[in-house]
Parts: sequence; structure tokens; C-alpha cells
Amino acid sequence: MPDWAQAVRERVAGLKLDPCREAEIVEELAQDLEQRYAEALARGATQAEAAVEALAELRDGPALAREIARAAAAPSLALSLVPGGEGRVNVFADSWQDLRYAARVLAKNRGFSAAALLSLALGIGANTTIFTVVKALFLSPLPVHDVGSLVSIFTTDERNKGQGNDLMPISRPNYQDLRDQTDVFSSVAGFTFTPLSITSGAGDPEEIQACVASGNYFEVLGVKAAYGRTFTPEEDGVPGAHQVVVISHGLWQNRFGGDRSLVGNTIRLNGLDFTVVGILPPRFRGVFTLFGTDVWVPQAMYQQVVSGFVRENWDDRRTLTFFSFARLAPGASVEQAKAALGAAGRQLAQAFPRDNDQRSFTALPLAEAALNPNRREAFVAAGAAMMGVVALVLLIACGNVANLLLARAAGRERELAVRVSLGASRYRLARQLLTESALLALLAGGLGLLFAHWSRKALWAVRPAFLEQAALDLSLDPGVLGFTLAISGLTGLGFGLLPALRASRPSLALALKERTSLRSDANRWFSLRNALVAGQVALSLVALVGAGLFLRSLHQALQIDPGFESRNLMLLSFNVAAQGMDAARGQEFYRQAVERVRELPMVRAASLASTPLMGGFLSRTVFPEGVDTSDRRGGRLTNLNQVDPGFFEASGIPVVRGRAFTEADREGGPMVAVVNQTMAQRVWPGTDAVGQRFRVFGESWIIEVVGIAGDAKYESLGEAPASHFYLPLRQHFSPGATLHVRTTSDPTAALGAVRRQVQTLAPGMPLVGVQTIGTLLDQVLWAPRMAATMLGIFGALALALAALGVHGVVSYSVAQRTQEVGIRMALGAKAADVLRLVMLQALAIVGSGALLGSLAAFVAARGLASLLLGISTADPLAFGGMVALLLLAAGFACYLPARRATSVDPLVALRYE
Amino acid sequence: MVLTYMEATSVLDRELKKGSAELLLLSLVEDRPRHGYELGKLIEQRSRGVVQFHVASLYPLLYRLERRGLIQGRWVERAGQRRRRFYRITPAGRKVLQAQRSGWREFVAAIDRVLGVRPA
Repeated sequence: MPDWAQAVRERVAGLKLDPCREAEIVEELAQDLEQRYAEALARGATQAEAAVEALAELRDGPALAREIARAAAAPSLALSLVPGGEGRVNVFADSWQDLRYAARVLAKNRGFSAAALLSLALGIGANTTIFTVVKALFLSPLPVHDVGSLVSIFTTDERNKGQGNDLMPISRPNYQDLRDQTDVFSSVAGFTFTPLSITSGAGDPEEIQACVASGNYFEVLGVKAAYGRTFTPEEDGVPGAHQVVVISHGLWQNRFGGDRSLVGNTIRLNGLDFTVVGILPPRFRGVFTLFGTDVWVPQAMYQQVVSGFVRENWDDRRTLTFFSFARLAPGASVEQAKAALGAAGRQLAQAFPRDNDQRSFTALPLAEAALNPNRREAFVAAGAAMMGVVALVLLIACGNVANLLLARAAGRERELAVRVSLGASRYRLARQLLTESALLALLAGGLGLLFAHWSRKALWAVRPAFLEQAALDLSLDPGVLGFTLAISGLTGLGFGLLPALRASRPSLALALKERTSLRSDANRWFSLRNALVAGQVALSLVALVGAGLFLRSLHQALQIDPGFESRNLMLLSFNVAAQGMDAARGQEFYRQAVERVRELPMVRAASLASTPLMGGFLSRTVFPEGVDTSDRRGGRLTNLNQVDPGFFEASGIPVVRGRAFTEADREGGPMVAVVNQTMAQRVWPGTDAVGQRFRVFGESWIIEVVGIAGDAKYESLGEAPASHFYLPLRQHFSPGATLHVRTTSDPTAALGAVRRQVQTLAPGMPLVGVQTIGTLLDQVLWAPRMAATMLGIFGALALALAALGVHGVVSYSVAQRTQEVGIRMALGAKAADVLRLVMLQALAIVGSGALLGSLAAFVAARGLASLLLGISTADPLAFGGMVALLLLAAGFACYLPARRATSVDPLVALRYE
Repeated sequence: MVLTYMEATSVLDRELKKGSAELLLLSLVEDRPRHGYELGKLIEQRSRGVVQFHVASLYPLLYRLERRGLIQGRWVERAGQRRRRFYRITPAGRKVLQAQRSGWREFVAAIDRVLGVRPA
């Protein structure tokens, strides 16, 4: 039989066709000739006759060559290709072509696309969710006019510099003097907060936060009412003359159903009728991000709405209960404002040495002050940590997809090689592959947005109590969408670039050869994938160790003894001043409320405190008897709480020496106090504190210590022991108080009954913070629990992704080495040997990843130091446990394909080629 | 340039053949993909030997149709056989086929009218 291929080749040889194209033409025509030859033989022709007949088909050789040269000039390969040459410049048409091709490729590989989409969408969604929160906290400008020229004014005090409380509020007299004496501002406004009970509109009586503001408050901010108006200057003039109020959009919607006729009508606040003059635009809830208010009352009404300590010290220059902000005069800078405030501070310190000694003032851009400026750094650290964690998750997802892409690119090598041989430039191929990645990333971005839409709601729903009043705007606005688009794009580039660059440089000769099951460059693919998987393992270990550290921290926090009995205790707070009660009526109300609650069968003990357990504290400067009280430097800033008789019993804080308060410790009697152990040791070291006496700065009191109580936690579980003292509530009235009720069994069962007992005494009184101490402790532990949960979820996700990656490479390796394994087994290797061989190789990858991850986690964990309770950042249990977990999961992921290798039948494997 | 009679007939013949050949090939791959050998054989069988394509003219035609995007070639592997190149019609090919078919009918009818042959 003649060599048909040779016959055809001779006739097309001079055409200078692309070698690949030529080979195809030769193959196709030779097949045809061969078949015609066979047919002629079948008809009975001799071999020579049949050969002549077949070759006659090529009779018109030159014409054939000419026709083929013309017709085959364009490529028409079996693969549906996007060729593209070096000289093509139509970028848009090419991009459209790329995109359509990419869509086809993705649609064809559904399994691959789904796996990649899901992991990317989770990563992008997590990033978008956290970014929404971070943006709302740090990047969203307050909805005011020209926020850049607004500053907040703070008091500074040389005596408490560097104690985490450098920037303090201001006193009203100082605010007024600064307003009148500095010319660096075009206008200065002041305000304070007070709780008010609202009884109008839908729903139960409710306690809401009110802002008691200077008449120019809205004018300085440049905030206009959405309906009606804001305050006029006269309304802040004659005290008590204008019972007007401006309300938030939220309150208007929630309580009044968005009824516009509310403007001009009255609502009842603290039992008084206030005319609503305006409703504010939706996003405005004051100038503090984490503390929004719902009503604004002119400060000329303070006698009617403000109560207790703030009202008593309204005109006291020392009492820092006011806040102030100002608009800079045209051309003035924040630095100039600081200098002017410093100068004003020196003048005021000279003018009022007793009140303003060592105090001065400073300014901060209002946008920065919107987050508690003393805690801003902690917020930033927490925000950065969360962004870091979600970025980690996205990186792991990228690693996973890059791995999937590499694995697939290996399968597409031939296609790519053919395209290169057809003249596609490497740039063009890389662009095609990148288009696929970008399409994948954008689709994932869309899915991620959906994911973020749900999860940010879930996240917000579980926020702790201290964020209850927060006015965060968590909408998926253009900023968030832009961010998602940007990270999606970066992600596409991130996971697509490496495989694209790698794959666009295929080894032509090898790839175009007849298909072989053994790729000689398989190892190169494999090693790049190995590195990626090791990287994934490392990243997932970082996330896992983070989760482990927070879990351990949470565990430690749960072990911390709060110093009081946390079981079967419930709290309920109210404010008698908001009902218009004075001190005498308030005290009577307290007595009756406690009495009525004690009558309930399930109540074992009940008492009152001005500040609830774990509710923070007020601080005063105390001086042991005999120390000069005119110089504050001789005193100690000490926390205090005013409590009723029975408080120590109800709260479970033990009185370790002396006595607790009794009914005899009332107004008019000798002033007494119970101090905690820390205060006893610090103020009277080495002596018995009981019987000692002390004074409080600014007061004429001389107080005798009658008992020593055990130390407790007063604000957070992680706090260091602090000096603390208790005064009888009956000697030091507080208009707000919290009922502490100890029950015989589950306190949630008693909540309703206790609430009813108090409400029969004062039907219109809002009861706030009705909860068990368990709920409260849960909220205190919110941050570590949240961190542990989120890192746990992301860590698990990362582990799953990494395990998938490990499984992928080991499976690939096993498939590639089927023959080798077959030979080994034919030569006598046992299943266990093969298993060990595969496992060892796989575990080397995992091990190097784990080592790298441990190092990275060790470094990264240092940044978490301030967020961890009671453990070191190198906690061996967290590290050891997580490394073990990782090895276990990875080992399992290796074991499955490794076992498959042991079931290779040597005969089948050797017959493979 | 002036064509001689012979040359003119030959050109007409070639163009006619080329035009009708395209129509034949497109209509044969309309229903299902076929390879080159099969196409050549089918044309020969269905025309009862009147129309024959040699390899030297069949494949260049196929390549040209492919270059114009009217058909698409694809290597297909079947178990136990060598791979073969199958040609399938593209959507563009379908449109051209439709146009050529009606064009052909009109042409044949017109020739018939001129020659005085009544349609059967």
C-alpha cells in the first residue's frame, strides 16, 4: 500500500502552511485516499489498480495546492478557538470575543465553576460585610454640611494624661466662655444628653435618649429639618418658655407611623407636652456614631428635662457633663483652633484656679470625634483585625481557585499550545485566561453581595447592648458596591495571573505530540500546585490559630470570677426624675418598689444601686483623713456606687469585714461607706480599714468605713482589680437606680411579675435594661465570643478549602503515578508501602505549610494582644490544638487518594500505555 | 481582456459547478455532520454518478466553506477507530443554504422557461 500521507504531503509541501494545519490536512486527505483504495480492492481491483485509482484523485496536483493554499489560509482547527494574532489591535472586539469564550468555558465545566464560585463568593461576601461595618464606623461622613470645617472641643487635664481618658467632655460655663472669647470659630454649639420617657404614639412608655442642645446646634452643623424646622434663637432664650422638640426620622417612623401632621402637634415627654417643630432627615442621629439620639430639646428647657447630678451641677465649672462642637472661621485650621483653645484654657485656668487648675482645651475634627476618641485606637485595631481575617479567607479562596485553574490548565495545555502555534501571542492567551478569571470573580462578587446583604443584618442583630443606640448606616451604598467590585477585580487578577502566565507558555513540542498519559513536565505543574497548597495550608492555620486564641480567651473569661453571684439574678432600671419626682418622693418610691418586689414568692432578696453590676461606675477623688483635700494630687480617683440596704445580699458580693448598710444608714445619720478589698489595701495598707475615715474632693463630707466588701468586676471581666467604694443610696440620692433581684430559680420566670409590681406603683414609668445578669455577662463577652465565632467559622472554611486543595493535588499525583505504583507493586511493594510513599510526600507539603503557618500565626497573633483575655498570644494550647486539627484534616484528605493508589492492579497499570 | 469561446465556456462551467457544489455540500451536512469521504460518496450516489468530486476539488471546497464560516470541521474520535474530521453546518451556513436553494429553484425555473421545457 502506498504511503498516502507522503503522497499528499508532497503536493502541499511548497505551500508554507502552518505546520499544525498542514498535518491536519495531510491526515484528512490521506484517510480519504486510503478509504478509496480499500473500496477499490473490495470491488476486486488489484493492489496496483486500486493504488492508481486512488492516486488519480490527486491528479490535478497544482490546482489542489492552489485551492488549498487559498482555502486553508485561515485556521479551522478542530478546537473552537479564539486565535488572535500578534498584529491584531481591535481590543474591544477581542475582549468581547474573550468574554463570550470565557462564558462558554465556564458553562462547560459546571463542577469546577460551582466550586470556584462558591469559595470566592464566601470570601468576597465576608469582605463586603466587614467593610460595610468598617465603612459605617470610620469612613462614612456625618450627614452634616462641610464636615471638614467642624471640630469637637474637649477638656484635657494634666493629672490624668495617658490614662486612656485624655479627652474629656466640657463644663457648661467653660463652653460658654470659649464660645464668647475665641475668634477662631465662626460659631460654637453645646449639648448634653438626658434620658426621657415618652408616652405618646404607638407602643409602651419608653425611655429614649434626648439631646439637650443650644439653640444654634443645627445651624452650626448645617442640618435642615426634613419636615418643619429646627430651633429658632428665641427658643433657647427664656428658661422654660418654649416646650418645643425636634425628633429623629426613626422615632417619627416607629412611634408615629411617619404621619406628617405631627409637625405642630404635641407629644408627651416626662409627663409634659412638647410641640414637635421639626422632623430631621433619615440619617441624622446626632454627632456620635455609636450613640444616636431621638429627640432634641433646647437647653433653655433643662430644668424640665434634665435631672440629678447633671441638673445640680448645670452651672458648675468643674463638672464635665457638656459636649461642644464648633465651625472653624473661614481660613482657620484645626491647628490654629488647638492653639487658640490652649490660650483660652490658660486664661480660664488663671481666672478660675480652683475649677480649671491644670485643665485646658483642645479640638479634634468632628468626624474623628464621632467615634469615642479615647477608644478610637481600639476600634481601629478591632476593625483592622476583622478586615485582616476576612482578607485571609479571601486569600485562601484565591489559592484554592488558582489551584483549580492550574489543574484545569494542565488539561488545556494542548489547546493552548495549538493556539500558540497558530500565532496567538502569549499576551493574547494570558488575556484570554485572565478574562475567564475576571468573569469568575465578577460572578462571585455578585453572589458575595447577596451573601453580604444577609449577613450584615444578622451581624447587626446580635450587636451588644452598648451599640443599641448606635446610628450606623449599614446600607450597601455605591461605596460598598465599589469596594466589592474592586476586590472582585483584584481577586480575579490574584488567582488568575499565576496560572495564566504559567499556562500561556506551554511547551509546544510536548503538547503537540500524540497524547500521552505521562506528561514529562507534569512535575512542574505539580510543584507549582504544591506550593499553592502549602500556602493555603499556612493561611488556614493562621485563621485557625486566631480562632483558637479567641476560643481560649473566651474560655478564660468564663473562668473569671466576677466577684458576685451570677446565677438567679435579674436587673431592672428606672429613673424617678423622668416622672417628675424630687429626692423625697423618689426615696419613697424606691422603698415601696423594693418592698413590693420582696413580697413576690420567687424572690429571695432585692435591693437598689445607682449603677448596676457590670454597668460601669462614677469616679470621685478621695482623700484619707488627714491629707490636704485642696490639692487633688494627694487624692485617689476611686470608683463608687450608691446602694440600698440588702444590696450585698442580693448581689452576692460578700462583706468580708465589718458590716453592710442597714436601715439606720439614712439621711441625717453619720456618713458611712463600705470599701472593697483593693481600696482598703491601697488607701490604708497594713492597717484595718474598718473605722478609718476619708473625704471626697469638693464635698464637706467625712465618711467612716464600716465594712469591707469583696472585690468584683465593675465594667469588664478583663479589668484589673480597682479601688471601689459604696455609699448608702439613702444618704446620697440618685434619680436613676437599678433594682437587683435575686430569685430562687430561673430569673427569666420572674421578669414579668417583678415588672408588674413596679409598674403598679408608677404606670407611666419606662423600665429599661430589664434582663438577667446572665444576659448582661453575655453582652460583656460579646466581643471575644463574636471574634471566636467569626474566626471559628472562617477558620473552618479555610480548613475545608485547604483540605480540598490537598485532596486535589494528591489525587492528581496518584493519577499521574499509576504506572509507577503498578511497577512498584509488581516488584513486591506492599499496599502499606505504597500508602506510606504517597502519604509521606503529601504530608511533606502539608508539613511545610503548617510550619510556615505557625510562624505567620505567631507574628500575626501579637497584634491581637489587646483583645485577648488571660492568655498569651503564643498560647501553646491554641497553637498545638489547631496544628493537630489541621494535620488530622489534611491527613484524612491525603488518605483517601493514597488508599486509591494501593488498590492499583499492577497488570492494569502496566497495560496502561 | 477578451475571452475565447472555449475559455468562456470553461469559466461558466467552473462557476456553475462551484456554485452548485457549494449548495450540494451544504445541503448534505444540513441534517447531521459528515466527513469528507462520506460527502464525496453521497454526491456520487445520489446523482447516480453524474456529479463526481475528486479529492483534489472536494477538500479545497470544504476548506473554503469553512473559512467563510458556513460549515465547521471538528475532529471526532470514536472508540476503536481513528479520529475523523466531521463537518457540520453553522447558523450562517443555514442562511446561505436557504438563500441558495430558493435562488437555485428560481434559476432552474427561469432556464426551463427559456428552453421551453414545462416543469413536470
